[in-house]
Amino acid sequence: MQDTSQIAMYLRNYAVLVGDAAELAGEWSAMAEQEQIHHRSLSMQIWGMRHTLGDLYRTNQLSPTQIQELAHLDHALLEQAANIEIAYGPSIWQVVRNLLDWGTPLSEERGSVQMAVPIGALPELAKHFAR
Amino acid sequence: MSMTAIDDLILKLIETGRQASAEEVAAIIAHVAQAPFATYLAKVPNQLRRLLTGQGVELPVRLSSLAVHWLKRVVEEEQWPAGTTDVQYVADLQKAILHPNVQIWSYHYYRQPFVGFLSPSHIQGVRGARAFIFVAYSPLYGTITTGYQASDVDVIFTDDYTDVKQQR
Repeated sequence: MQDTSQIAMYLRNYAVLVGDAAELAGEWSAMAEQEQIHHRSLSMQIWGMRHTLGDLYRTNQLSPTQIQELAHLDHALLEQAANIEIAYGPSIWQVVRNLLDWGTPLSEERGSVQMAVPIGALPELAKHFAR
Repeated sequence: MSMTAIDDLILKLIETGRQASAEEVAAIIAHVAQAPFATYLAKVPNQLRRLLTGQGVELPVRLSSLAVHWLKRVVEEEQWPAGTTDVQYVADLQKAILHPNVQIWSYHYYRQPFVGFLSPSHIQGVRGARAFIFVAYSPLYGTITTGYQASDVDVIFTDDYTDVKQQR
């Protein structure tokens, strides 16, 4: 079983990743490559934390409050998808695939999600709609 | 081989996916084990600032990459003992690179070439301790770009990593 304080730490870091995406994306084109590498190097580990949270969710090791927080952050991640791609690299498709592969409470929800689709991803989206 | 020649070798291994020879692996380990951690000054975005400030740490607008990683590992994640200095943190990463059982991967992370080192962790007895220490090195800049404790290789090499090749 995971230490509760470590789960809380994973959730805090995931919240930082999502919460800083817009700020980093807005300044991305003005950053030197080394600064961009720095921000992505920080994000590498946090994606691993999100992966672990998915494992914990799938194996019923999260409390209802933790599941609620994870769902909230997964919604926020999708809403920030365009900024996530700029700041951290993964495309909207990769973000969705990762969430579903790792485990997300969204898979149990019946409502809808809002996603900011990058304009560059529209042709790919059109292909999916055409199927 | 010169320092630059070893970085060129790493870049070629990543580009071609070639398996490094035992001699090349030994040269890469020796080279990266004495490489500095990146010290490029980077903005500390608001949420990260709040996270670290909430732990009693006041931060300037920009901090070196090393300082941010070190603060996160010691203060927020408790992966290293309280009181660990940035110099000790880097020394521990270098020690991990030199571990006799180190595993090494070459890969791209969103088009950036890296070589990664995964060793059994020698930092235990802290809340954030994990089974392994992972260190990433940029052959383009000749610097370590991150180092942290990780529970498993699977939570490191997600689908976001491409051209992943285990070299040792």
